[in-house]
Amino acid sequence: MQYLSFKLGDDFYVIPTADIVTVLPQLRLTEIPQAADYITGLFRYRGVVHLVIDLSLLTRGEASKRLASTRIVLVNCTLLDGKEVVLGLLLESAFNTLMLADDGWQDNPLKATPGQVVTSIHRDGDEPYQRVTPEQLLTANVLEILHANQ
Amino acid sequence: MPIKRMMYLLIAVNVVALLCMLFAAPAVLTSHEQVGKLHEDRYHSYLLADELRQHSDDLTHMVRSYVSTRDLRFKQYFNEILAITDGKAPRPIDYNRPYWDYVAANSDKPRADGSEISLVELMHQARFPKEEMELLEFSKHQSDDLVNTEIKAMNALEGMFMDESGYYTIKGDPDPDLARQLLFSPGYYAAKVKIVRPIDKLTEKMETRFDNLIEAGEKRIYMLETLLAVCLLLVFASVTVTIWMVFSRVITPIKGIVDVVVRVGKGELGSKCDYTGNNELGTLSSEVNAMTDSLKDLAGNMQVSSGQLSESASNMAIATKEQEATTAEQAVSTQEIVVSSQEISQTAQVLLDNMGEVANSVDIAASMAQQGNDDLQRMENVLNGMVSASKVISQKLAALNEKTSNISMVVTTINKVSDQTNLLSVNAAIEADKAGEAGIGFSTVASEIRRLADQTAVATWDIEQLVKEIQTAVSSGVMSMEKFHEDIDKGVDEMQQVSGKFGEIVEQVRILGPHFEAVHEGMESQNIGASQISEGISQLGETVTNLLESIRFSNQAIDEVNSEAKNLQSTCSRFSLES
Repeated sequence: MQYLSFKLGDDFYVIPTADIVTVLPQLRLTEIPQAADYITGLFRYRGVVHLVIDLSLLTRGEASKRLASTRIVLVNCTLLDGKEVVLGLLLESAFNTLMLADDGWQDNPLKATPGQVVTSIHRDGDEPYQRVTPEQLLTANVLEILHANQ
Repeated sequence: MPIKRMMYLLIAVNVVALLCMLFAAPAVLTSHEQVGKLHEDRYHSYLLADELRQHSDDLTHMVRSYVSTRDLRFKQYFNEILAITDGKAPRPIDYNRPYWDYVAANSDKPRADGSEISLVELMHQARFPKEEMELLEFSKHQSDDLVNTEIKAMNALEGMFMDESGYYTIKGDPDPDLARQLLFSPGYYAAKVKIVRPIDKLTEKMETRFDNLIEAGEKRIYMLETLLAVCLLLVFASVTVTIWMVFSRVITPIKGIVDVVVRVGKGELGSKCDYTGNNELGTLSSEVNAMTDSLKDLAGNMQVSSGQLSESASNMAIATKEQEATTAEQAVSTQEIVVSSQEISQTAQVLLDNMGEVANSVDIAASMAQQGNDDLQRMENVLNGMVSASKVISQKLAALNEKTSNISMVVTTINKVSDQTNLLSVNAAIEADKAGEAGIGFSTVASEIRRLADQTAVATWDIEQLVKEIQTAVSSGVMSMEKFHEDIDKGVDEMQQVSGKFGEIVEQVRILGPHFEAVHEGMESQNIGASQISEGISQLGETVTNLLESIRFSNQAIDEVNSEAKNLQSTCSRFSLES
């Protein structure tokens, strides 16, 4: 199965390319007044307005570096009520795709802990890739915003 | 009324009274004397009057005795009596006392004879008034008449009789009967009465006269004595008044004032005199009050001042102790200075010795400076050449910098392209994956494209690194060149300055020679000066030691002042300022 790799800090994470709509370079974003700091802004893509969330700021409290390799990745998210939304994630080093064997995944030992975003870790790759499901990345707060947005 | 005026008044009264007494007392004595004299005069007058009577009686006695006894002794006595009375024979002393009775008895005179003086003369001497004198003379005259009768009787006894002319010339037979008849006849007695009556009258007149005179004298004495008594009374009254006044108006108020003064003396400065009279003591009282008030103020001030004095003395004691310590340190320092100045003196001597050597060295330095100046000139030329060379290098480097900038721009463009390519390949891979089996080939192509893009990126990154390194190198080269350029410019400037300085040094060194001579002389005088300083400081050291001694003395003195101040404070505290 194919994955898009990116970095949070010095560690590698992957998202299945199946969930990805497209990868875009950094665009000019419209800031939302009084929004949480990890909500970087809004942009319009193919006639639809999308929210962009800085995943590094959200999970680590540290803003993403504004390099050429830092890109906006549009992903499909399935909300709790089964609705599908498209969300923009600002990710560092999102310039590579790779194939990982499906049976190489092991569950995250801390999976049951509340707030854990990593569901499983791959054992075969060059790095211990941690698989991230976009929905799990999002805090309840963000989800509420998304609901309200629909 | 002021006491002074009252005193003056009393003294005046006393003086007047005493003056009166001074006048009256001798007057009294004189009057007494006068009265005494009057008594004496009366006595004398009596005696004189009585003597006349006695004279007549004596004559009668003698003539009768002669006629009876025919003893011629009596006739002789008769004549003697007459002679004495007339002042022809010496008058016996105290003739008024019994005389002829003694003589008739045994023919001896009981007393010696005095001078010859008649009775009339004595009467004149007694200064009888004219009236009385006439009476006496009349009596004397009557007595003389009687004497004639008696002479007639005696002559009759002897047989001698009076003729017509009144002389006894007729001789006859003695006729004793006639003689006796003459002497014992009533006519004789009548004649005797004629003698005695004036004397009696005189006595009466004399009595009246002396009584009047004595009465007047005694009246005068009484008046004077009354005056004396009044004056004495006045003096006594005045003295009593004086004593009363002294007690009531002087001693009592003075006692009050003295009490206050004693209390003030004990330190009770709140005491007040309550005597208020319109006289000197009233003034004294108010003045004592004013004085006490002043003393009170003074004592208050003194109490404050003595406190301050005590404090000051303590401070002074501390200060002098500090001063003593400082002076002791100063003494030590002075000793050190002595040693140092001696060292300076020695060093100056050494310096003096070295000066000669320095002068030689200066000559050498002068020639070396000249040589250095020449070398500098050459170096300046070399540096100027380097400046022009570095300018060329700078220009070359600027050109190189421009070229590398161009390269950098190209690399950036390539970088952007490879980035875009990568993005494209990623999206292509995603799309190919979504396409499933149909997209496998496309996916491989996308991977290849991405690999190419990555390699391009790596290559361009390498180039970028190189270019950056070149740019950095060129930049630092340019900077170094500029720095170098500046340094050289600065070097040239400095070189020129140094060159100028060297010229000055050479000049200075040339004119240094004579200066060195002057310095040499200066050093010598300095050497002498240092010796003098050394001596002076030794003396100063002694002075400081003396000063230390005197500070110790003053320290003792201040200790004494301190204790005195404390005494003064305790003395002052004796004064109570409360009323």
